[in-house]
Amino acid sequence: MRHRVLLVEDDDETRARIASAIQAESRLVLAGVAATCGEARAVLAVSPPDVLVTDLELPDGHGTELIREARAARPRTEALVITVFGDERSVVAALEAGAAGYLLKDGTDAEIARPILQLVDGGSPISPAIARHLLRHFQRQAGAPESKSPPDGGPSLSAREREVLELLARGFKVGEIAERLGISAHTVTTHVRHLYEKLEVSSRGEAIYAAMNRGLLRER
Amino acid sequence: MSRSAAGLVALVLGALAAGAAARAAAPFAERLLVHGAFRLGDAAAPPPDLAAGEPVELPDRWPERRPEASGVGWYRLPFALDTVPDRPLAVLLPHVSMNAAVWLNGSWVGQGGRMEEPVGRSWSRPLLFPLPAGLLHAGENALEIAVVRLPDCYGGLAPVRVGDAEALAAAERRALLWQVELPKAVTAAGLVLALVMLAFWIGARDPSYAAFGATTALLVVHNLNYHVRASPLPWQAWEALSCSAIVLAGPAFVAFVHRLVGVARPRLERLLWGVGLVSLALFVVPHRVFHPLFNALALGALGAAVYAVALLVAHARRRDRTSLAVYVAAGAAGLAIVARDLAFQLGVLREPGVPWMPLAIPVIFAGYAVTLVRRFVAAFRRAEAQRDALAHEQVLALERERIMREMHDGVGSHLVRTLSMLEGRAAAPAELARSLRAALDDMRLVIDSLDPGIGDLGSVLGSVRERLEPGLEREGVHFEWRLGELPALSWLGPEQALHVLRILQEAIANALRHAGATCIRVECGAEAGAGGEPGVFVAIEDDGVGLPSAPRRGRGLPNLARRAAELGGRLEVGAGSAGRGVRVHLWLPGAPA
Repeated sequence: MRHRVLLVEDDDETRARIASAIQAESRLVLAGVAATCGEARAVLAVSPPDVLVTDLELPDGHGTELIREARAARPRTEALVITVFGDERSVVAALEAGAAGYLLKDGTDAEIARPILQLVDGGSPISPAIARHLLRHFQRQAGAPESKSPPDGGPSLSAREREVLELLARGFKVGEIAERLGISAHTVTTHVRHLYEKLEVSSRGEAIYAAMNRGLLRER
Repeated sequence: MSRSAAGLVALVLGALAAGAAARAAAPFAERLLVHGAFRLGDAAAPPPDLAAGEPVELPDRWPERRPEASGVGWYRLPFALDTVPDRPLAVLLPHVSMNAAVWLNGSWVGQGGRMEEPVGRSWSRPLLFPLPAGLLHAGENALEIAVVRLPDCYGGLAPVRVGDAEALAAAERRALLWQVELPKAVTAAGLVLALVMLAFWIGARDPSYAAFGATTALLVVHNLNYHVRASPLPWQAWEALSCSAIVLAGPAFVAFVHRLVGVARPRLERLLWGVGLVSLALFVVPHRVFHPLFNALALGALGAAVYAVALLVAHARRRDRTSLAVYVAAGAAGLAIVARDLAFQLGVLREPGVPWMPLAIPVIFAGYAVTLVRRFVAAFRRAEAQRDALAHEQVLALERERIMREMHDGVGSHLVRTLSMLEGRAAAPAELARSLRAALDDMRLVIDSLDPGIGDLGSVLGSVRERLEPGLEREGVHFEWRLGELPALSWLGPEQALHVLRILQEAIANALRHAGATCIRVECGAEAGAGGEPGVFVAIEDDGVGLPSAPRRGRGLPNLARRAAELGGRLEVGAGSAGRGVRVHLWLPGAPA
């Protein structure tokens, strides 16, 4: 079975390159190609993809909106963002919207396809920078004063999850971590997947809470 | 005598004895002396024909009975005793103006300070004197009381109490608490408050503190009049000081409110100060003019205060509703106190009355000083925030400068090299791509170094692997990742992180250049320095053919050594551990260099 990918990227050259990298993979098929949020929504409405690969800054909106919409309509939809630097600022918002990783704009065909394939295989691409962010996010939540934490308290890290994240942040690969901890690579991947879900859930809580706060502020 | 009759007698005798004991222990019924005779005289001794003087009834108010008279007048107040009580008696004068000396049956008993200039000021306090038992006798006794009246001032004597010394002492203590002790405390507190406001003014350069401090200081000067008994000045100078202080407190209060509210009415203020300064004439005007002038000026000051309170309340209604209730309460209470005491002064209320003015300072303090302190705290916070913002800006400026430098040396030089390759038209596309990738990689290092999460060496190494692995894999080289436990490095900020990133990037790039490498092993862990000081090491070792000859200075190596030295570390290059390849060993201190 071939996995359907929707590619959203407003730069023609980059779009063409990533599209050809996806087409070069026998297990992937392009379900659609879009240059704007509007075009992407049209595709999402008629043929929801398995994987949404989107740029963040789009002429008529932001990639995170598309991720949120796609996952709200069909929670099984996986999402990746396209970024030049993979830096915290651009990736974090996407992760919080439900993305499971990023691919670098200047990657080779194989490097572009790899995270997509990892995703459809049930894995979870993760980088040291993302692991670092997750660690900080959950630490902040655990240590946040009562008033600033989301109403549900937010999920926290288990000891094993923390261990996995710390190793990931120091550059270890999933296989290396499995070996070090004496567990299967699949278990490590499951931990990572679980962490992404926690992040998305807690981010949603935070977003709602922040919106409520803004609403309260406006009322005053 | 029968047993029963004897018992009855014993019972009666017992009852009689008990009755006598009860009579002896019975409290002395206090007398309120109201009727007597009056005659002008001098302080030396009661006039001999005092008993035949003008009949009077207390309270006797000189301005009503004898407006022109001043100096010493004598009262003879008779009272009858069945027997001389065996418990001590005393006399209490609840109100007298200005001062009194008390005699009993022709002998001096006591007096409230000097009877000549400067006259002791007893007008706002009770006077209590014990009556020596030896001077009392059964039948008619008489108190002779000399009262000093100051010219054209209020003078008078309220009903006099003769009674049990202990009971009257308790009454005196109660009266002293309100009429003397409280005003003393207010003077002390007001003085401190005025000094604090002075300090705030000097510190904050906000004139509202000066105006409030001046208001308080003037009220304190006025307040002295309620508890200072031995005046250091002749009576007119003292009264003029006290009166002009309360008159000038009006314009000072207006000036304060204007500044607090942010209203500029300099002409009105000048007018009010001008009128207020007329009060200085009280020091020199003839006695007859003193009180009419003061009364007029005091009414003016009261008017100024009413205006100021109204202005403040109006302002609070518009801008500061949280303070509104406090302003209204303090303003109403303050004005009521001033108006009430002024009513005695003007003769609207009849003397004697206990003055309430000493309460005015606490009321005003409660109302306005709290606002001022809040204002001071706000100003202080603003200054702190400004200082923080300035420090923050300096940090930002330094950081901007550093990033510009890094961009110039890193991305900039890569781009310039790529451009010259293109212009030379000799470069292959793959070479150009490599050069541009190098520029991008460098930018990623700079960006990673700015990631607030990259605060430890482990994260720096993770970042190195993330960034360099794709390039290595393209060359068919893989990492062997052998990180040990690392202590936290407190000195590792963004700038230091970038140094470490660059050292590792360049060491790895060097390893790639060594022919035959298929694996780059990265190790790290704790390691003591040459002098035993704590530190960490990072080793990068390849499995290539190694260096042509023992340690040579490879391309970029001086650069690496310089960066390492800048971090307080050392860089060593040697043969790999297994006898092949090259090992770059970076040692970094555990504590700031």
